[in-house]
This record gives sequence, structure tokens and C-alpha cells, in this order.
Amino acid sequence: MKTSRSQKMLSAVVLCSAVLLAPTIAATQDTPDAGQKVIEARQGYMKLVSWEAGPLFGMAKGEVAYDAATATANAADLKALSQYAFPGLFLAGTSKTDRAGKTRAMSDIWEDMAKFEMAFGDLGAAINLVAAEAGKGQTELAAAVGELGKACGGCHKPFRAKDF
Amino acid sequence: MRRFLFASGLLCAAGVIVFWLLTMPRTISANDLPTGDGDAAKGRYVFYETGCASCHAAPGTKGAEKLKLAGGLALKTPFGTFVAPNISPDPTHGIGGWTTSQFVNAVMRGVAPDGSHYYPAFPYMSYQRMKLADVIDLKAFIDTLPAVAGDAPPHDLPLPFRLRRGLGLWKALFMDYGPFTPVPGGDEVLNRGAYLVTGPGHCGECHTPRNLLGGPEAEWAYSCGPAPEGKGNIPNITPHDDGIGGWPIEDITIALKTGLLPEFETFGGAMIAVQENMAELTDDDREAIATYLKSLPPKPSRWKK
Repeated sequence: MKTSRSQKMLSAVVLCSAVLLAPTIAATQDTPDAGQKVIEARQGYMKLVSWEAGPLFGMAKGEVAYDAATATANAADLKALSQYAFPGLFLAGTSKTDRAGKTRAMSDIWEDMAKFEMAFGDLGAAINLVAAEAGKGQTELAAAVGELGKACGGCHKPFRAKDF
Repeated sequence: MRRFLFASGLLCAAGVIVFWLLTMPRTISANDLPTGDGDAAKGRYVFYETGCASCHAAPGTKGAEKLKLAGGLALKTPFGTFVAPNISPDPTHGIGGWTTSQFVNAVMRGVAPDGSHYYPAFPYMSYQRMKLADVIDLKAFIDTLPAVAGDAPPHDLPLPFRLRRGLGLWKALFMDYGPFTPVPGGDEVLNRGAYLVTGPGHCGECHTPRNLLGGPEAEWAYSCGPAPEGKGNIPNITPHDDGIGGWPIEDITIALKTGLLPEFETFGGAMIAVQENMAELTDDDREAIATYLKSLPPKPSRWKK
């Protein structure tokens, strides 16, 4: 049976609408928005920090044998990470209050962004100290890592919630 | 009317006598003390077990300066502000010239040489469990420290709490006057830890919350305390999820030695000074403390962050 002109028109309209609407419909499913992406990005950043800092803390605590080369390399990586503008990853609307269950970033960060940025600056200073001391020996590393731990706490204690 | 006045006068007099008797200082007799001088070298170790410098060194001092026990640190509590006194061996401003018996009774009974009571901000409620020989050694060590002239400021307390005699009632309620009792069935390590924590370490003085009378709340033992300055809380050190439940004994031992906690955290606030004392102990003693803490009944934190 030959389709009429109006049936062809209708099919075209339906097909075009589907093609145009599909991305919109897909977007309302589980694809992450910018907020979710930036949360994952900053958690990734912290995972890198943790990856590099972990062995340094282990050496400082005596859980892992001190090795000057590893300590120096990890400290250099931390220094590279400290150059990244981490506070820029804290977009509006991505606090724990806004995105419960996705992030531990407390809204206090946005209430006092200056304090948050200063705390990140303190982290940079502590990382510089670790980089300077890492290769000198276990005792020197341990002292510097002690300061690094305090700097970690300088953000985590006021700005990171205990749970998601 | 006259009989009424006479009866009430008698009642008042009886009340005063009862109060006076109840609040009499209970001391250790000099005859009960072991003879001989204390060992200052051993006393140095006890000094770090008990943490004298954390309160009695001048505020803000570090390193070797912390051996100058000039006092001055202010401790804010719901009962007012207590200021730690000078306990350097200065004969005028400190404890220079005190007999062994006077020192022992100060530390273990909270009684001053003049017979008055000390405020329990001085943790004699814990120190009462210490070994006599250790306290005598401690005195020998303190006697070797530099004498510092100058008095610390007096306590700043509201009027009702200025009556020191009344502390006799506090002691009647909260002191057991007993020596350390070993944990039933506990091995040497656990009992050493129990002694250190409940005696010289006096951990519960901060980590156990207090009731309205300032006595410890046993059912919340070691589970937290209200922060002295009002911000945050003193953490839970029972093996509950709210506390140290997830931490193996090794992690606690390392934390006491280095100040580095699991998950890249560090001790903060008043605990920094405590950790500096803990760092002076042996690995075995730190492990004993950790073992005892992990053996405590797990309790949830009454106050969550």
C-alpha cells in the first residue's frame, strides 16, 4: 500500500523529533552533569595525593623501610600536584548539602572560601618542606611528614565531613 | 521561740561538725612509705608517664624549656579557670624543700602540705593508683630540675567553688583511695596498659565525660568529653566505630610514638603535648596502652562531631 503524503509528513516529523529529543532524554538518565564530574575530578586529585603521600607516611611511621629515591620521587610528585589550582574544583552547588551521598565537602568551604584557599596554601608550604627533606634521611622525613599531616588536617578537620 | 533557736543552733553546729569530719583530708602516713631516696633516672620516665610538663611547664614552651615547671597554663572548665602552679624545686615559689610524704600526698591524695585539698583539675583521682615507689622516684627527678622563681596566677573560680574544704565531699564521692587493681584474667601487657591508662596516664580525666559534680561518668568511660574551649569534642578512644574500633593495635602504638594517625591524620590540640610525652615511653609501654584501650568496652560517642 502506498503511503499518502500526509503519512510521509507525519513519519518525518516523528523521526526528526525522536532524533532531536534523544540526547535530551538521554541526558535526564544517569549521565553526570558538570557538578558530578567536578566532584569526581577532585576526588581523583585526592587519590593521587594519597597515592604519593601514603609511602611517605609509611616511612615516617616506620611501617615501611625508608628509601631516599622513593621518598624524593614521591615528594616531587606531591610538589607537582600542589601547583594545581585545587580550590577551583569546588564549584557552587557541589557541597555535601547540595549533593548528599556524593561528596564530603562541607558547605563551610563556600562560606569561607578565603580560609579554604589559605589552608590549601599551607598544604603547598608543607609539601615544599617534605620535598626539601625527603632525601636526607628517615628522621628528617618523619619530621617533615609530621608537618604535612598537620596541613592535611588543616583542611580535613574543618571542611571534610566524617561521612558521605 | 527560744527552743526553736536553740534547736536550730544545735542542728547547724552538728551540720558543721559532720561537714568537717566528712571533708577531713585522708593522707598516706609517712610510716607507710618505702624508705630510701628516690631514683631520679627512673623518675624521669615516670615524669613522662604522668605528663607533668603538659600542664606545669610555662605555656608555649618547647623542648628542653618544658623542664622549667613554672606553671601558668590555664585550664578552662565549667567550674571556672584553673591555673597550674609552679612545681619547680624553688623553695619559695615551687615545691623546693617538700618532704617525700608531702609530695606523695599531693600527687596521690590531692592534699597540700598545709592540709588543704587540691582541686581535681590536678588529676590525683588517677594518680591515686600509682605505685608509691614511682611517685617517690618522680620527686627525685623533679628535684633535679631548674628552680624557677615566680608564682603562677591564682585560679579564677566563682565564689562557691573557692571553698577548698568542700572538695573533701567531692573526694568522698569520687575517690576510691585504692591502689591499682589488675584486670581479672589479664596478661602482663594488658595490665601494664591498664596501669598506665588508669594511673599515671590519666587518660580518662579528659576522655571520660563528667557529671554536674565534676565526677567521672563511668557508663561513658573513655567515649568522649566536651571540649574545654567549646569547639569540637575530645575523641572517643574505645574500640567502637565512633572511636578507635577500626584501628589495629599497631596503628595506635605508632600514633602514640609519631603523632601520625591512620588516614593521614594527626593529633591536634591538647593531645599534641600528650603524644610528646608518649613518645618518651618504650615501644612496649605504648603497645600496652594500645592493647588496653582496644580491650575497653566499646561505647558510642555521646556527642558526635
